[in-house]
Amino acid sequence: MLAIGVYFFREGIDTLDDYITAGRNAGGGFPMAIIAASLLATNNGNANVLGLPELAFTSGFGNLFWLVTGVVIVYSTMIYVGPKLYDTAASTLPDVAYSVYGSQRMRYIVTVWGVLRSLFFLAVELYGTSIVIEFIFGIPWQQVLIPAAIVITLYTMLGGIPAVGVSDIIQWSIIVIGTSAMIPVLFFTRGNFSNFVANNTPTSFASITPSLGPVELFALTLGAALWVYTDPSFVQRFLSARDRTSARRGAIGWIMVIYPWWILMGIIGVYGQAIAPEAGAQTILIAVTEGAFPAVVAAIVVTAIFAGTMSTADSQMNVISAMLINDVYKEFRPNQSDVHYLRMARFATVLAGIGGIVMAPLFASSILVMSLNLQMIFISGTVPAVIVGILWKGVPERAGFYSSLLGGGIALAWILLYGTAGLPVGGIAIQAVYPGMIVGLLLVFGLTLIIGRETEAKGVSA
Amino acid sequence: MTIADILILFASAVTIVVTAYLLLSYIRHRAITATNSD
Repeated sequence: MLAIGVYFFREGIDTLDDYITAGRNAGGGFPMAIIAASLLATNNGNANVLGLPELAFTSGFGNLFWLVTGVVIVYSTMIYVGPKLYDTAASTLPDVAYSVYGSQRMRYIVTVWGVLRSLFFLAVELYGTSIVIEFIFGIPWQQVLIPAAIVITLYTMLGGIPAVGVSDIIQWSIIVIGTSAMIPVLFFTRGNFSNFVANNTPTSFASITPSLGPVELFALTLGAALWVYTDPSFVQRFLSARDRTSARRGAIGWIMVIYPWWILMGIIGVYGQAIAPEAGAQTILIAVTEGAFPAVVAAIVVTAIFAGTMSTADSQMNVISAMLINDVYKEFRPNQSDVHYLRMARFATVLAGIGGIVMAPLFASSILVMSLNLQMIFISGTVPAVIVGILWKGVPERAGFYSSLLGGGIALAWILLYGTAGLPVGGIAIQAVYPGMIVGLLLVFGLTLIIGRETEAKGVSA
Repeated sequence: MTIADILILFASAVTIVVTAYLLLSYIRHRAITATNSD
């Protein structure tokens, strides 16, 4: 990874455009292969690499099957939305908001939601990696956190999004070797899935019949899927595409792989219930690896776990830097040289890495909860305003602004009142993202209908 | 072997083959880019 960072530092990064959009504005940009692999790698950090087998291990295959099916259906809409993001010719998510609404305050409010969310996600990934290393090697996580963060920060700082993209394709390849390739090995060493789990797991554990009801599954699906429309690091991939076709084909490649891969991660969790039923749920992937494979294969799987974390953490660092410099610093200090902005972007990457290191131990016991809260606030504050603005031409600026401000604000208030779990109503918990999204959508549509759609051209992206 | 087993193996093959395609596609892209810049 460091070699990749050094390579792009020496060969390919001369401007801020190179650093945050792979030189898209100068005829560069990512080909479809990088976009697809980068979406896959960024999408699947610790939460999925470890969390999906954990979900199947604890509650059976059925819930996971319907959850991932629903989420992928939502994700598939990015095949249409992704190229629309590319069409904005923006450089970051806040820049997309500016290009849609022509409004600096929209740029700033989306920057606030985006940077906060990405910073917490970065801290979650760094913390997650350190915990995994502690579990495997017995080294206290506090001693792992700083070296791990330094490595990730270094290659991200040196090589920018080109290094992040290329490292993503390598990291995703490692993830697939360590997980998808495990399935045929499990078939060979333990027996095929149907026979082995039928004889070693509770009845119906491996069936696709879910234990959760449809309303709960629908709620979980929305909560797990809606973020994809405005995730800053995801948006950055589409904005960095070489051309519209690459953006669309990259999204198709991502969808083609993500769905079977998620299913396979659930299958591994079910195998885990049969192989190591007494193991800890959060690390069942590791337990299956240790119980079923020789050391070399186990090493590859552990590497895959690290690759998942690195591929998500580097994306968060890069996009935090991009938003801080492109959407805040450049606005307050315009007319500086490109070399200057590039230097500041590298400095901001280091700041992001330090922020992740500081936040991880500060919030160690509650960081996952806090990142979930930020996720819900972020979705409510950006998805209605930005996506409706992209898809429905002429949405007035006030509609977008108040949708973003109050959608996110309502979600924040809901969390403060009812916590992450939400308000229990008739046996279902209504989490903050639902009132937040509803308010956001009502405002963007309602104010547009009241004020009337605008026909003038909006802001040109920075 | 049941249909479920076949589908699982097929899913494994899809992820591996498409990932390999992405990797090779990127290598080819780099080779073409390097040739054009020479």
